[in-house]
Parts: sequence; C-alpha cells; structure tokens
Amino acid sequence: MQTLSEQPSKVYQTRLDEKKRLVIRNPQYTYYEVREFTDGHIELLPRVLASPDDVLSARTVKMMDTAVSHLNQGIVSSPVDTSLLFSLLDADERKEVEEARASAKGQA
Amino acid sequence: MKFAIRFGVPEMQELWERLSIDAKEGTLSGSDATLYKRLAKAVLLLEANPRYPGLQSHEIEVLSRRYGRKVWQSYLQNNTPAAGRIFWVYGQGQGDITIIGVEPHPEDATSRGYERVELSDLPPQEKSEKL
Repeated sequence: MQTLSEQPSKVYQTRLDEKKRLVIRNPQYTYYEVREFTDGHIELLPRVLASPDDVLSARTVKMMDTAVSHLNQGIVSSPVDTSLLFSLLDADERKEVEEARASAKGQA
Repeated sequence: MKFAIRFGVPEMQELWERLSIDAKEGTLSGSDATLYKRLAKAVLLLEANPRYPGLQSHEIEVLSRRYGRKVWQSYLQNNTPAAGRIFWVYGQGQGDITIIGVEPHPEDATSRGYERVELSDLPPQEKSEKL
C-alpha cells in the first residue's frame, strides 16, 4: 500500500465544472484509483496498467514451480503423441502448422 | 529438426490427459474444447518450429532467473495474449521441449476472482520452495 505524503508538493483550489468534473493540473499519471470518503475528502492513487504479459495467476506460478522442480530431477511426461492432433485443426490452422514445418526446414 | 513435446509433471500432464480422454469420449465442455484445440495447435507448432512467428515465442527473463534456466512464453492464439499463453523450456533431453505451465490456469476459469502475481514482483525460487 502506498504511503501518502504528509506534505503536499502543490496545493490549489479547484471547482467542479458544468459536467461535475475536476481538473488536476499537470498530472504525473494517466490512471488513478479514486477513493471517496464519507466526510467528503477524496484520495487519488496513481495506477499503472499492467501488460497481460506481466501478470500471472498464482496457480500458474505454483504449477511451474512444481514442474521445474520435477524437471530438474528428470521427471517429465512421455512425449506427446501428436499423430492425431492435426485432425483437430481447421483448414487455416492446418495451413499454419504446414507453414511452421516448412519454415523449420528453411532454417535447418 | 522436429522436437519432442513433453508436459510438466504433474499438473500440465494431468490437464492434457484429462482433455485428451474427454475429447475421445466426446465429453469436453465448451471452454475445455477451446483450450484443447489451442493446446493441440501450439504443440504441433512447437514440435515443428518453436521460433515460428505465429507463436510469438519470447523469453520471460524473470521466470528464467527464478528457475535458473531459460523460460519461454508462446501465445495460444496469434497476437492475442489474453486468449492464453504457455510457458516452456528446452529439455530435459536434447530435442525435447517441456511445457511447464498455462495461463490462464484452468482452475481460475471457474473462479470469479483469483490471486495474480506481477512478474516484476516474482523473486528467484528459494531452495526451500523446491520439492
């Protein structure tokens, strides 16, 4: 939890406009969490959007922790039998797999 | 070079086995059917060429540091990370790829809310965390 500074760096008066919006002068952030209190005071806490790539489920992390520990001990599944998987795909997906196979030959 | 695709033990292996059995028996639910098909396609692409552009494979350095080996992430659907991601490593043997995790976690799909971890907050794995 962020600690709020006791001494504000700026103090100014503002008022709601006709659409009941407040203006923040020269804001440092784009996104804020707004906390409204019953006594009328409001806190704005800066927020930064996280990329989906930067966030994981705690369950996924635990899943990987266990998998890597086992892998380090030489414990993994048998190789997947991929012979029947191609038939699950639609035409576009099959084309993509064929492209991947062709590109691998090009890289070899 | 054709890679042999393996699953991490136990969760990824159990997930794949459950999906495969349900698919054979025709009892896959809608979301499981989608996941099975996406995983099947990813497995085929990884087997053929883990660097195929459609997989968008890239190293996740925080995870590499955590596990002491390079961890790669690939998308289950082109350019759509929200559709699902898999995490994999090279090994255990030469020519092997092991899929160690999937996001979103299948159990999270049935939960209204679940605990999220920001990768930037993820520390290297402690020895005590290892099994």
